[in-house]
Amino acid sequence: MTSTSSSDRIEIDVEINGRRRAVVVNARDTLADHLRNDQKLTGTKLGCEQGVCGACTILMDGAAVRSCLTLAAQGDGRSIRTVEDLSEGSSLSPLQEAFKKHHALQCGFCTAGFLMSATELLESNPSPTRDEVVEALSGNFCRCTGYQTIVAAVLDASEQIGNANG
Amino acid sequence: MKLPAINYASPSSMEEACDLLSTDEDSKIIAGGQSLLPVMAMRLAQPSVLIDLAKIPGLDAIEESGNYMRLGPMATHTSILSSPVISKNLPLMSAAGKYIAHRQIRNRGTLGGSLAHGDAAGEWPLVLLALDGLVEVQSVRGKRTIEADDLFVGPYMTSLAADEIITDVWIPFRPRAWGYGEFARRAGDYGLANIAVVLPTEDTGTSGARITVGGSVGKIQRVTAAEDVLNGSEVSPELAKQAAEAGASELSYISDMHGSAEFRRGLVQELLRRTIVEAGERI
Ligand SMILES: Cc1cc2nc3c(=O)[nH]c(=O)nc-3n(C[C@H](O)[C@H](O)[C@H](O)COP(=O)(O)OP(=O)(O)OC[C@H]3O[C@@H](n4cnc5c(N)ncnc54)[C@H](O)[C@@H]3O)c2cc1C
Ligand code: FES
Ligand code: FES
Repeated sequence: MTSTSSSDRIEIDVEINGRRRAVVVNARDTLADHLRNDQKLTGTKLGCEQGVCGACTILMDGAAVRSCLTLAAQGDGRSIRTVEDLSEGSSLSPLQEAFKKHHALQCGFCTAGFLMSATELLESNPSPTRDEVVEALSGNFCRCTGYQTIVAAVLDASEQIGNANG
Repeated sequence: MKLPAINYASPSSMEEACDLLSTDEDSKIIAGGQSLLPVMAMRLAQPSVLIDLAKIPGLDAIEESGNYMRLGPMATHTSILSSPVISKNLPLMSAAGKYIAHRQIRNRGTLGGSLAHGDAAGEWPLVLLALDGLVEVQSVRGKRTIEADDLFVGPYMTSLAADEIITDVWIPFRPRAWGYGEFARRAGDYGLANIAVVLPTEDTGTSGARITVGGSVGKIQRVTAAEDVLNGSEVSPELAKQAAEAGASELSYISDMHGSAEFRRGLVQELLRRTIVEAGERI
């Protein structure tokens, strides 16, 4: 949408998990608010709401971003992917399977954010080193696991995906 | 917290953006939103209207133009870090930019936003000042350029007027030796101290050192006492030590829960020494 006037209600055209939607959002709503409240996609979590914890991480045109630090209005013309996009029905993606196998979650509050950060990494760099995994996940907090199992899960997933692709 | 109530506009030209910004004195530009939205969530700012630059074409350029690199204000941290012309012409920028926050924030945060925000520990302000860059700004009153030396005036304070928008960032790329040093307690945090050192090379003579410091000293600034020690001499480890001592005693330090003034002085002095040595090795 382009206009020279400003408004507190904004029309946007956004693709969410493969479906294009024309919606009207509040100017003050973050993308996280819109996903959770309007789209009922509550897999994306909100922790700090100020960019520090990473729980709200989603993909915007393939790049991992904080949905608490992106306005819903800024989603106009963009393609959004959330954690709900990873699995097909009830069958988990290789990355999600690896999280399960390695006990990479306990309470699970941080998990959607980690999964989306790891998804960006594996899509741009299918065989990351351990250091690259740690760097890519450094913006996500987990208060339960101690991180080691999460790193192991992402490394394992990269191998599984590599094997599957021959 | 949820954001305060606001209006939003997304103009398609710089002229429209300038018009909007001048009609309401409480309106603000939004670029990546990675500094402005947290500040709003904490209720430290409550602008009436956010004017988004995202739909104005051409603001994310990264290109060579004569002896300068020209960067658009909407170039993201990630696009600068992945640009081959930047790593070739301005390796200091690539080295420093890696220290900015985390991937998810670098994917949205922009050069123009970082310079206008003017954080006293911001990597881009520090680097722009060390590399003697300048910004071009526009408002309904016209255009002007501001040299980096005149841009950063205090913590979160720049010499931009409230109705001015950064439209271009220019950084000269003559051969220069450089060093970058930063200390943060956790990777991705704003540094407790950061230092950029730019030294002339054999082709350009021995004067014209530019050393900048951020973090512990309240605002991005040059360390002229250290520059004076280096100018006209060949850099040696002993000279680096003298320059660091002179520089560290010229500055005044903040003191807070992250570190006392005394601790910060020691930190800045040692970082200065190491970073001058690093730059000296590249001459
Ligand atoms: C958790 C976290 C950690 C961070 N760590 C670091 C760090 O270590 N180092 C660092 O440098 N930064 C850090 N940042 C900040 C980040 O780099 C921001 O992206 C940057 O400071 C501002 O850029 P932005 O595009 O997001 O600007 P915005 O947030 O959109 O805007 C910031 C300010 O600049 C103004 N503005 C924006 N564009 C223009 C323009 N073209 N002309 C005039 N005014 C303009 C806005 O009105 C606003 O006042 C961190 C942020 C977070 C959330
Ligand atoms: S909720 Fe977005 S980073 Fe914490
Ligand atoms: S599993 Fe509880 S915060 Fe990560």
